[in-house]
Amino acid sequence: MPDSVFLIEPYIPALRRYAFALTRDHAAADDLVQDCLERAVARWPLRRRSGDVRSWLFAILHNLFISRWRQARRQPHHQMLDDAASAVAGGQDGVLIGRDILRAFNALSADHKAVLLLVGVEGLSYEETGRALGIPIGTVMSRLSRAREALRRHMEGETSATSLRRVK
Amino acid sequence: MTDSIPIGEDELEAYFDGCLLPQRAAAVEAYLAAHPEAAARLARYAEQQQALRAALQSKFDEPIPAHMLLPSILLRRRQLRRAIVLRIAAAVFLVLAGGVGGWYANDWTDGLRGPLWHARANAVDAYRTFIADDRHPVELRASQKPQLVRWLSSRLDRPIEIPDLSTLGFHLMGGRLLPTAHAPAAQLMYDDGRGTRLTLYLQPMAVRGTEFRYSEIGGVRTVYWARREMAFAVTAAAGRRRVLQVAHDVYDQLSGAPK
Repeated sequence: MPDSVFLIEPYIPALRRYAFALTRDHAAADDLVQDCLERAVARWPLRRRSGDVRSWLFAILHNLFISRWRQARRQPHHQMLDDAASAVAGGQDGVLIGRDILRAFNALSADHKAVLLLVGVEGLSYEETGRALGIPIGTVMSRLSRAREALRRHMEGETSATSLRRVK
Repeated sequence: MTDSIPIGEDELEAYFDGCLLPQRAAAVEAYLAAHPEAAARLARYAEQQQALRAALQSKFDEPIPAHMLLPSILLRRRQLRRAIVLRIAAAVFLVLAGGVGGWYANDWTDGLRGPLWHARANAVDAYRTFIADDRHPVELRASQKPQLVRWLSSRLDRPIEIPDLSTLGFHLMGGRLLPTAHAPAAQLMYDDGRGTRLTLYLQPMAVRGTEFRYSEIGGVRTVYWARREMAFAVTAAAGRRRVLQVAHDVYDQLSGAPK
């Protein structure tokens, strides 16, 4: 069995999580990951040995997402946020928090989502994130800082809106 | 504070993400101790991150569909590649077949199964039938040449000449009448005295004159053509050049060209 099997396969769950968080659509996410894996297998002999497999895989996935997302923007696609959120949020109190955080997260730009996911959820270093997104480390850091702040504002906006409705 | 470089937002977050240069850690920690609002903000970020991770955990834990696993991707890839190789091979084959077929398409310019094609097929069948016949390779022998000429001319309903191929080493053995789907045809047989026999096939038919055509089946070579409402075929298990020479000789003699 070729080494690509052992080196790529462990990252499939993370790739699916990343693709789902960006698309909020299970089928679209799985399509993205499937295409990403097929490309990865095809380009496996061409990849730079020095780079790590994980950021290389995320780079392929992210580029696929960007090109699809640009196409999709031309034909508006409506995704029910609540459905998507409830589909992933687990646990009892988790449901509410999960829904809030995903709703707030979904309001962010794709660039902000990408850095938050890669650094915060997937645990990539700044350097690996920069490699995956094709941007310098300085850009990763400033983008991350703005993304966290934006997410915080959206979360607080959500809660205050909810409490307002509750007061009424 | 030993380090006087001011603490920036990027360093706070790098500290938070564990990406800070180790020598700056003490300075950042001191800064956070002195600025509770900054520490609170980082704590808020930590909560957000935790919540986001928790909200996406179930997707991470989902079983991976079989079609996504690498062995099945590799397998499909191999199958696809094999299909492409086969398709290319088929295309190459068709191009080559087109080229080779073009050579033989000469045979078929009267249509794939034109009258001349049938004449050649008859000629080759008759060659195969009688060439190996030890007792009666011919019906009338060369010794009865005048009777043979009269007989064939009468049955083919036109004057038949028997070419003399002795300059090419072939001597007449004799001839016979052959049935066809239409009118009778004639076969003349020659021998070079060294084991090679050759037949000249003649079949009256209403076709335009043609150039020489060539066919080769299992080492048996035939040059055939049509002229003045007669199909001719020279057949032998001999070299292509030799068969072609005989055909030229026959053509010249039967056209009445001066020798």
